[in-house]
Amino acid sequence: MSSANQQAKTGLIFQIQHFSLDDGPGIRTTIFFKGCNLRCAWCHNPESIHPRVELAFKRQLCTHCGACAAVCPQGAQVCDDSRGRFLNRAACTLCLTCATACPSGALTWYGEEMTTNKLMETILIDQPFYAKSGGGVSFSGGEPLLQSDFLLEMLELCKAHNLHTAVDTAGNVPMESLLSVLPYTDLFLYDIKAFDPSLHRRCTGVDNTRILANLKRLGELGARLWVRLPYIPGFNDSPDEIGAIADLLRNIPAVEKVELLPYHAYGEAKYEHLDIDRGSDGLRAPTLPELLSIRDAYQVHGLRVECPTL
Amino acid sequence: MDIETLQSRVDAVPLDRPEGSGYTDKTPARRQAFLLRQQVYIRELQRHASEPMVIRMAHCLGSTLMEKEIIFEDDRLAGFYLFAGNNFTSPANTAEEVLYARLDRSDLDPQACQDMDELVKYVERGMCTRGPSGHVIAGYERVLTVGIGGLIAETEAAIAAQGETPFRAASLIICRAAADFIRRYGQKAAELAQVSAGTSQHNYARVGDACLWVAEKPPRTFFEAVQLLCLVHEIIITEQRSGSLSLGRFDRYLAPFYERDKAAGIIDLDGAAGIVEAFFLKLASVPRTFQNLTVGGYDSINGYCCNDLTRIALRTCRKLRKDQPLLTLRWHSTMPVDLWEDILGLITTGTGFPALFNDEVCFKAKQRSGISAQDAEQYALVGCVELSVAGREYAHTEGLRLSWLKVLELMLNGGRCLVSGEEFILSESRDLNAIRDFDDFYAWFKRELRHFTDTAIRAANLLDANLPDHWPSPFLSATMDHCIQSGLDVTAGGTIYNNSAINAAGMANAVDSLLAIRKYVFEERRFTLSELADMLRCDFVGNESLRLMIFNQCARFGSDAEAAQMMTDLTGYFHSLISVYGNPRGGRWELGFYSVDNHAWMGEKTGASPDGRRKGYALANAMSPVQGTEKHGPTVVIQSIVKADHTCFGNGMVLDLKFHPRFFTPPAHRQAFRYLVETYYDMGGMEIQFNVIDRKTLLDAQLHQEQYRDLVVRVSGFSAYFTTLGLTVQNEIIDRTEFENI
Repeated sequence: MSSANQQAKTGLIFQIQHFSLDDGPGIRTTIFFKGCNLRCAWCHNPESIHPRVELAFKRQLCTHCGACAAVCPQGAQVCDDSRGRFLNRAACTLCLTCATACPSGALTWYGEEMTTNKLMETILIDQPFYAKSGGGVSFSGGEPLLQSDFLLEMLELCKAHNLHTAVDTAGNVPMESLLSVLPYTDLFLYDIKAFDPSLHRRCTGVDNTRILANLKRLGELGARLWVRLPYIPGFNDSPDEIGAIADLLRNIPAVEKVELLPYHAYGEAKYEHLDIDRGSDGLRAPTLPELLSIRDAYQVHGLRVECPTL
Repeated sequence: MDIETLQSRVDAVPLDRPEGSGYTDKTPARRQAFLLRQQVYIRELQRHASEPMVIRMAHCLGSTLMEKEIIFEDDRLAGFYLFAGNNFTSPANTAEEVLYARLDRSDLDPQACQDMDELVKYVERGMCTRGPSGHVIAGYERVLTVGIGGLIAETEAAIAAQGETPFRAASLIICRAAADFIRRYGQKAAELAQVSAGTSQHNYARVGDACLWVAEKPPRTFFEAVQLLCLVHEIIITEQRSGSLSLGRFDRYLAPFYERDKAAGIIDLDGAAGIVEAFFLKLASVPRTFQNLTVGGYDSINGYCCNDLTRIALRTCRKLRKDQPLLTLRWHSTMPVDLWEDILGLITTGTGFPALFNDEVCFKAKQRSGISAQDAEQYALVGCVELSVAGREYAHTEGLRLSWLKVLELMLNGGRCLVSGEEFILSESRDLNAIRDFDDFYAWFKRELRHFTDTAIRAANLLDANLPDHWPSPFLSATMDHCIQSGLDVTAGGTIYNNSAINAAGMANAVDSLLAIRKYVFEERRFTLSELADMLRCDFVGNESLRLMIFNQCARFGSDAEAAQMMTDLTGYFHSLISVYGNPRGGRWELGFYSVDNHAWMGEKTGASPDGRRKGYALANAMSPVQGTEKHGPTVVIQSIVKADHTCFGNGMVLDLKFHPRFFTPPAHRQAFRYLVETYYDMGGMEIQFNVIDRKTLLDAQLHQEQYRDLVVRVSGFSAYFTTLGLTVQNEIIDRTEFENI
């Protein structure tokens, strides 16, 4: 959180999803904050990671018209007969002139600086749909608490409009950040990626001591909690892991619901748009029998988990 | 009608249209019945040449019924449906209507002649469509109450009290013929029972008894009621060329028969379901015929109608997966919540049924069209989505359809059609370079919209005045309220409500195009109006980058607040234009925002447009946004749609949303779906319908037609077998935005 950001009261948002049904109860609007301090091996939103605007190139939409190369002040955009369009990311200053000039929508960008008022305006489009369905606004990411001042102001605004609020967090933030938003947050969607600290470090690049401590503390403070467990076959599905996570969650009475979220590969195209070569990562979606057996394994340990995709 | 014209029309009827493309059928029995009807109509028209047309038509239909072979396709229910194609009971096309109008009337002034000539061009070149009249719900409920004998008695009484009119004489002829026809079914069934055994014997005997009873008398049981309904419907569709002969509030008017039988212990849910299934299969035997059947709905006498028959209808449609009947459900805030499970069960089959209507908005819309509050509560759906009062309303629901986008095309091209080169009369011929700002252009668009609307309605009224002289419908009229009393056929305004409708097409394309013109011509000055017109004439050839830029970046109805505002303004304006008109039957003109499949056909005849749409591509479907431009999901689309006042749409409207099948898997999504619909209704939405099918399946169905013969999809206000649709319509459906959200 930069001090400039605090003064300007703007946030960096990479997506606004209307009619969002999977990030809390009812019909919701989910706001995706850009910037994350985990590096999950299975991340399906690679555009969510870096806390800055990024240029994206959707190759299949490119018509090779040359408009981008013609306007790029840095010469970072090259139209090359043999390779089609080619972007020199090192030379690119992210002025976005090329994307503005692109007629086909092949060049675009992830990340939009938005003021709280502008974002609220967009959210309120969906307001009529919240009441009947018991929906509201979800703040997700990335890690929304990395822009905690902006988030806090958004939550306050939502509450001023009497909207239900949810914060989707990985929990790897100072407890003070969580405490600051707690009074305005009706529901926390809290991700547990792994229990064993070394496994967690291998999978996400960071230790999980603080994540687990924050979860317990939120529970003690009576926050409403829905815990979400990404399930990545071969990464976080050992019997020890399942047993430990089940024990942890069973002993936090504030946890109302536990959702199992199986890995999916829908994010792959976005890696290509960002010119990120993932190489071979060993990731795959679980089969249906695997999914059922993991769900049952949690059940055996006394933890009821829901799998919305089943 | 002279005999030479008749004969030439008969010769022109194609007998072997591909399956599903029209009302005819290739099976030998149907072809035989079709030919018989033609022969009988020609013979009887000649034989009674000196009589009034309504009497001649009664003889035509009566003799057809008398000579029609009695065929049983199914021992459960008597009835053999055939749609007659283009022959005698409605004009072949607009040009023929104009011909008759000119022959009949020597008093036509030059303006009238010019209007009619313009309309013929409009219809040929994608500015207008004009369908046959007679999209109607016959007085089935009345026939079930009084029987055919009751109609005969009422006619006799009216003749005794008020004297004979040609229609009353015709009514007697045709009602007696109808009774004889039903009796013949009874006799044949009794014969078949004699030579059958087991279940079949039982079934034939039951059908035989029922037919012999209901030939004249009102039905006593649920089975007899459905049997009579089934055969009266056969006579109605034998009389009418038109499709869209609809069934009304099926679960409400049959409920008393069912409840009585159930209380007496002679029927249960399964028994009734079997009878309904047999009836639905009869309706399904004539594909692509727009036979709408309505269930549910609130009225202040009975409350919300949700009974066993409501559920049976939903479940039977789900089981059969046919394109007929088109099933509609009337929603009201008093609808029992648990009915949603049956509704969702049917929606997730992907057949596009049921279409869901919002009662409160429909009540208001009908009242604005001159229908009494009490009758408005009894509305049901005709054809695609047309609101109509069963048995009391003869509305020409397809009287006209007018493309807003074609108006814009002609403005930008000096009145010349971009596809055909044909010239049209504009109200003002203007130099594009002299138009200084967008307000000036927009005001001109409105004036031209008025000009084309005025011309089309004036012409349609002249043509409608001709209907009773050439295309009356005596049997339909006998079933309708007030015709026997008034002594007039429906085409002459004999029943209670007699409106005509004009439907809009290409609305979203026109709005997006106008906003593109504002942005690129008048605000950013990237090109002039003349330069834009040149690009459109060339279908953007050489300007593909510019086309893509406009297509991807211009403001779009469905996601842009200003576009929604303009749509609201134009909708109100269009409604005000047509509301001042009456029609020759004493009714009014009302407005519809649905496009059948005409948005595809009209698009084929429309050149490239300023919203970046290429020449020949389909127009937007009904009131939905332009295909593929919805980027923010259904809640945002709905916000745009409900800005317009849906009580303007006395003739119905369509909002079509497409969902991926997986959307409905999580229970939370099914719940959310219900809340989406209910919130749309709270905000003033009239109708919503759904396609639930993935793009991959549709693409595969295009490649492997033979494997997808039974794939039913929602087109626009109706559903059809996907593989029977034209390529433009197929592609248009594939290009609609799909909401997945998983």
